[in-house]
Amino acid sequence: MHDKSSIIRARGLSRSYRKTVKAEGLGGSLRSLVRKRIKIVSALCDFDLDLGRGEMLGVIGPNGAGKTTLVKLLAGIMRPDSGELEILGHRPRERSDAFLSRMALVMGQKSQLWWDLPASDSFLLNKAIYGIPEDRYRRSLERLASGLEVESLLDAPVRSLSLGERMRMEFIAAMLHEPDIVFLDEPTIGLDAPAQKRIREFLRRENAERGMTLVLTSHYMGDIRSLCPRTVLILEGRKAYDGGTAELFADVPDESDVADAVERIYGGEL
Amino acid sequence: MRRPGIYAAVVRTAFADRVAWRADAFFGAFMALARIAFAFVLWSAIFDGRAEVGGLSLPVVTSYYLVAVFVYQIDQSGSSAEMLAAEIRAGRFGAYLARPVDPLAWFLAASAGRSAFQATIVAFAAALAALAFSLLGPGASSLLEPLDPAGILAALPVLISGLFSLGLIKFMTAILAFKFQDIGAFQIAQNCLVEFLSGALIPLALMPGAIRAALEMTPFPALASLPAELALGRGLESLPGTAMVLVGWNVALYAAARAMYASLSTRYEEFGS
Amino acid sequence: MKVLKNLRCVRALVVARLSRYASESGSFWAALIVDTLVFFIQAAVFWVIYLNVDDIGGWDKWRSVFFVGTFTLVDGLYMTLYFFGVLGIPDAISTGRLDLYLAKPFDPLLHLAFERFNPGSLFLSLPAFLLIAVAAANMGAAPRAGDVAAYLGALSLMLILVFDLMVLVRVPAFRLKRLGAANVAEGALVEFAFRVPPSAYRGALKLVFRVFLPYGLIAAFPTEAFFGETGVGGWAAAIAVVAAFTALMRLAWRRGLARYESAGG
Repeated sequence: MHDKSSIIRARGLSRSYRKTVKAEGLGGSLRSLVRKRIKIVSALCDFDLDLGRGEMLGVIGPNGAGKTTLVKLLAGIMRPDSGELEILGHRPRERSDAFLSRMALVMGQKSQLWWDLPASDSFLLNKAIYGIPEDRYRRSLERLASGLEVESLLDAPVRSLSLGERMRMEFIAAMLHEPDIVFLDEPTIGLDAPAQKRIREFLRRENAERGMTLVLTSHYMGDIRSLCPRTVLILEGRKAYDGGTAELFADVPDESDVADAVERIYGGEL
Repeated sequence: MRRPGIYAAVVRTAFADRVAWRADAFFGAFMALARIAFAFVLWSAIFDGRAEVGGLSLPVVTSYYLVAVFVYQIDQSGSSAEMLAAEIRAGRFGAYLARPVDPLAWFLAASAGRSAFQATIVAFAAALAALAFSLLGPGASSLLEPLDPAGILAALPVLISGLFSLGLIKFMTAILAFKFQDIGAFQIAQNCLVEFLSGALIPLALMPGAIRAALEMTPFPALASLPAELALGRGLESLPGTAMVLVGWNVALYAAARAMYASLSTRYEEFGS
Repeated sequence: MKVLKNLRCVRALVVARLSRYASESGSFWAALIVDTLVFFIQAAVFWVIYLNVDDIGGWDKWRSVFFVGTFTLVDGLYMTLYFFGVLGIPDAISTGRLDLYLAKPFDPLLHLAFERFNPGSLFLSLPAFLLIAVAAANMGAAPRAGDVAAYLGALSLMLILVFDLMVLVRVPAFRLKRLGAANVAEGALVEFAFRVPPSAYRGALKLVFRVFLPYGLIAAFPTEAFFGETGVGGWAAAIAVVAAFTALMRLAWRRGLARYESAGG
């Protein structure tokens, strides 16, 4: 059913990968030199999604379930093999400037900051890329830096910052242009509990103050429970659940890992 | 001293790693052929209307390049060095420190494994090149100077010694990444310099005598020029002196590599996430 | 509008790179010393050849010096502008780092290419100018404004061509896991096409190295343009080759992006 207020509308999204398979040892290597074996792996199959403006959606599932594939399809990084996808009235696969200027991507395991320069230099580059006017840039930077409590670190080289500090700078870099929708792929991975809490509070504020829509993948229960009233569970590339987070994890302790929690709920189906 | 079995496994794994990437393997063989072809075009133009250049005939120069270019291609310590430098910069060097392995020995073993695979490809390409020259026409055999089997045998230990020296130099270059942010440009320049000094770019026999004599006191000609000259039956009489020079370099460079690693590796604690 | 926007982003990238260089004086001097060394090696090859012969395929020493100077100038310019950035394309593809470039409203190819703008390599152009000036003086060539304009125009065209060729060599990274041999292949093509005077290429070889693998055009065409040897036909042919390779490069890049699978979880 097409929800007219949806800013994400996905129907029948599918995506598979071609993987080379090689037997172990030198013999396997030599055989693969002559004949390459290919295996087709379905990463996402027939996936539907409607997401409204200002919603915060958690996407969970075991490793290899298809969470990151979904995020990459939504961000326009990859093209689906089949299905329809529309975000903010755009088709992400076309990667128009109009779409890219209204969305942001934060990946916990990849950085957009220049390692040898202060984060402020990377922000200036993003200012040029997104065409942010000077006064709006200054306001946005001040707001984000104070919100994430990193005002005194803006001029320090990124390589000298701790992981938590770097992650906060990544968020500033991603939010300077005040995107309408943000895709977060494991943004708190490797961070300690206080750093995770700080990031979550920041994201809640951004959602409350700006109506920013959020799609978040994470293995941390704290991220999902505290940020996402709605959760989609992906198992082996297919949607296994789409509904309230509280209902899904009603009997699960807070300190559980998401994977453990899902295993407990779905038992041997994983 | 760690178990030698570890490094035999590293050699095998590095060999298998090179086998796994067949696009690289076939492409490398093709390009070795292409380099010979380009050299032939250049030197045909240089020899246009001339029987000799610098005391060398075109068949000698062609055969020289046939051996020198292929032999120079065998070394893979450069790619090992690039990987090692990248690991140090990315904070992944800890993988060596946290296991009972010696990083220098690991590096040399991995380079040996990769070079061993490359040598099989080089042999394949050399056979193709010889076939190509023989198909060029009835007179094509006159394009090549016959090789000396005894010289080829003598060239093998010379080449191995040269590869060992170059591997140590590349290791020392790679661990500069402990100190400097960006050593990529330096590695590029080093590759150019070594290629020139080895004689793979231009026969050392064409250089002024004093310069040639000085170069022959370095380990670099062992990578291309010396094996090529020996394969052509030249320089066999000066082999004992050459061997002493090369062994001396092997020992000195090994000691330098150990000392440099001991000094620089303490800086590693500054990096990493 | 998009072209202007992309140019503004390139300018911001260059400024950021200059900041990095200014803050890393060690890297700056290392690049300068290294680039100078590379130049001397390239000059040494020709020096050794001309120690033994008076000409190569009819090109005397000074014409070859002019050719070497032009090659060195092109080399310095593209190493300054985009060489190291384009070298990083396969890594960006294989590690999935390309994701973050794709998620921005800035041409990802230009972003990758110019983010490693390397001002240190510009110093390679200084000995190049010297070589060119010395060669021109020894050849008795008194350059007119038109000759210099033609030379600069040809140089600019060739910088675009080198960019196209470099990207084309690396676009297979969307499909192949490693391109080490492709880099070696390109290096060999660049080395021999730049170091072999155009007079050595005849017949079919000339067609191959000026049209299908136009590495032979890169230093030769500006040299010929300076000495007024190109003519309208020569210019038209060179522009056609550059336009064709630019179109081929853009097509290959777009096709590569369409099959990009974005490594990493």
